[in-house]
Amino acid sequence: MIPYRDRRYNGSTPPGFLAEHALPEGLGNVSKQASQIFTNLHTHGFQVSPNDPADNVYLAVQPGQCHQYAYDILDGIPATNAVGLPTPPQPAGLHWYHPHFHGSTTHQGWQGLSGAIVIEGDIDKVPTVAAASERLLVLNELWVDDNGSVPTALVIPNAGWSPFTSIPAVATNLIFTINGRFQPTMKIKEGETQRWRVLAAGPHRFFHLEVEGHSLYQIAQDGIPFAHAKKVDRILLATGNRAEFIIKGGPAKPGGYKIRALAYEQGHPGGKCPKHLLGTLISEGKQEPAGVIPDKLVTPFKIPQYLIDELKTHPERHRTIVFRGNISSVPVKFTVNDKAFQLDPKTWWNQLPADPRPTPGTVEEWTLVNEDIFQHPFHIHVNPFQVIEVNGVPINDQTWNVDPDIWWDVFRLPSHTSQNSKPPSVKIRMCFRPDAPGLTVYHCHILPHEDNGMMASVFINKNGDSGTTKPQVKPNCPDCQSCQVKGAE
Amino acid sequence: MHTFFRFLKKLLISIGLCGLLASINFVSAKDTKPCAAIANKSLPGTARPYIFNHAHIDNGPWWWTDGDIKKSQWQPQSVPVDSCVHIQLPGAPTRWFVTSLVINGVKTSTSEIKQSGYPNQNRFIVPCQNAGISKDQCPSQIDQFELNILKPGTTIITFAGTPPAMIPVQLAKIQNGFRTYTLTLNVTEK
Repeated sequence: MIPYRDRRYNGSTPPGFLAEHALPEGLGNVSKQASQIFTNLHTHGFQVSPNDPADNVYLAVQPGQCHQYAYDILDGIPATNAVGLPTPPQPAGLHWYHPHFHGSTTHQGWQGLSGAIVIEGDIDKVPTVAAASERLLVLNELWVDDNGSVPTALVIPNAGWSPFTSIPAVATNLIFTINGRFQPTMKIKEGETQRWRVLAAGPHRFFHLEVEGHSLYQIAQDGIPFAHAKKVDRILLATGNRAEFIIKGGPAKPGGYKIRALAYEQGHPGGKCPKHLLGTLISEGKQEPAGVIPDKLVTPFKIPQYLIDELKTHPERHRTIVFRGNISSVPVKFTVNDKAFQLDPKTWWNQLPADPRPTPGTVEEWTLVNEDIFQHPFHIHVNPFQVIEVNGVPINDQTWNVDPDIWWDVFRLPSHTSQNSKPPSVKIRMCFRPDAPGLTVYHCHILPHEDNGMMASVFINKNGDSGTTKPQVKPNCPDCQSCQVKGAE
Repeated sequence: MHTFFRFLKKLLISIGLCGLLASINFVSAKDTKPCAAIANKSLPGTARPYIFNHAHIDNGPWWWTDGDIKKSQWQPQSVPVDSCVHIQLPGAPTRWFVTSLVINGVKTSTSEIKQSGYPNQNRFIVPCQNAGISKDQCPSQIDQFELNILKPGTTIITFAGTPPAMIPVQLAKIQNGFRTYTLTLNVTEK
C-alpha cells in the first residue's frame, strides 16, 4: 500500500471530457479550491482566449472559493484573401489541464492535480485509427514524504536517486504512476491494434517511453494529428508533452512486456535520471484478423507561404529569448531574458514588459537560446508552434524529433554543455490566432523552474493597442452559490 | 620532590584516563552506523535519506540577508533518530573531508561515514564562470557523505575543503570560496 494524500478536482465529468485520467476524480467547469493554497486552471492544447472566463492564469482562486470557466472552442477561419491568416479549427486530440498559479504550480502538480481532455474530430474517422481500441494513459511523477504528503518547503535540486531535497530537508519518495496507479498491468491481444493517448503530466521528469518488444506508430504530437503515421521505437515526452500512437500486440511472453521510462540526461545534478518501470503490458489471446497499422491520416494546418515571406519585411516579428539558470544559488534561480517572473499583486501589472507584444493574425519567429545546463521544455499558452531549426543537440542523443511539419505545445531546448561552443538554440514559428488576443505567458515546463522565475508575459496585442485590460484576478463566483452546475459539487 | 612525583603521577593517571576515555568515545560505534542500502529504489514507502547540500550550511548568509530571517533566529533543523543523512557538497577540484563529528558535545568516530560522488560536469560551471571564476576552479562533481545517527541530541558535522569550492551568488559572500561546511542537526526521538 502506498501512502498518498492527493488533491482532487470536485464534480463529475462533463460531456466532452473523457472520464479516465490521473488521480483527480473528474473535472467540472467549476474549480473549487479546498486546500490551503491558491489555484487556477490552465488548459494545454486548447486554442482559446487567454482572458476570463477561459485560460486566465493570473486568476487566484483562494481556499473555499469557486470560479466558473467557459471555453469557446474556436472554429476555423478560412483565408478570404491573400493577406488574412487562415486559422485552423481546434485540432482533435489529447489535451490536458493542471493548476497554474505561479509559485504553487509545482506543489499542486506533485499532488497529482492534472488530467486529460480529449477532443474528437477528423483523426478519429480514419478507419484504421477508429478500429483500434483506445487507452488513455496519464504518466505522473509524485514527490511525497513517507506520510504521503508533498513537503511544504523550499525545493532544491540534488544528485542521486531522489532528484530533490528541500529546506528544511525532508525524506521523500518519487513515485511514478500511470493513471494514478503504481506499476499497473495492461492487456493486449496478439495482433490487436490499440491507440494509446499518452500524457506526461509530471512536474519535472521527462519520460523516454519504451514498450519492450513493440514499435510505436505515432499519429499525433501534443494533440495535433500527423499527415502520416511514423514508426518509432521510443518517444521522449518532456513535461507537458503528449503523444498518440498505435501499438500492435506481440505474442504472449512470460512476465509480459515492460513499459519503461529509460534513463535520460536532462541536465539534472548527478547525471542521468535513472530508468523506471512504469507498468507491464500482458499479451493474452490472439485477434483475427489482425489490426492494421494506419498510414495516411489527416491534412495538418500549414502556414501559407505568403505569410512566411512577409516575415522578411518585418524585423519586429523576429525575437530572441534567452533562458538562464543557477542551481547553486539559494533558492535556485531561473530567468527569461535575465528577469525572474514574479506575481507580486502590488507590482506585476505595472511592470508588464513591453516585449513581446505580437499582433493577432500574424506569424512570428522566435529564437530560443538556452544558456543553462538543464534542458528547458519551452511552452507558450494558447498558441502551438513549429520548430524550424535546432542547434546544439547532444551528440548521440537520438530523442530529438525535428520534423518541421509537427505542431508543438512543448519543445525541449538542448542543454548548454561543454560539447557546445555556443549556447544551443531553437527557432520556432507560430501564428497568433486573430480570434484569441490577450495577455498570457510562456515558460519552461519543468514546473520547479517556472515557479522559480523561468516564465514571462506575452501580450497578444489586438490592433497594436498599447494598453490592455488587467486580467481578472478574483474568481467570478467566490461564494460558490451562483455557479453550481449540474454534476459539479 | 615526593610531592612533585605524587603530582606527576596524578597528572599522568589523569591524562591516561582522559586519553582512555577519549579513545573509548572516539572508537565507539554506538552513536552512528552506516546507512543501509535501499533495496528497491523504485518502490516507495521505504525509509529515505534526509539530503543536505551546500544550501543547508549552518546559519548561511541567505538566511539573514534577505530580511526574512534574522541572523540570531537561525536554528538547526530536526531529523528523527536512526535516519540516514546524506550530505552533498560541490567537489572537484575541491576535495572535502570530515574534520569532526560531535554528538552531544563528545567527539565521535567518523569511521562509519561513507563517502561517494556523482559526476556533475557543468552543473555549476556556467553560473560559476558568469561570476568571473575560471572554469578549472568551478566544481564539476558532487561529493556525497552518508551517515546514520543513532543518538538523540545535537550532532555537529564539520567538513573542510581544499582548494576552496568556488560557487557563486550568495555563496560568493563567503570570501574567497567555500572552505568549511558545518551542519548542525537536532536529532529527535522517533
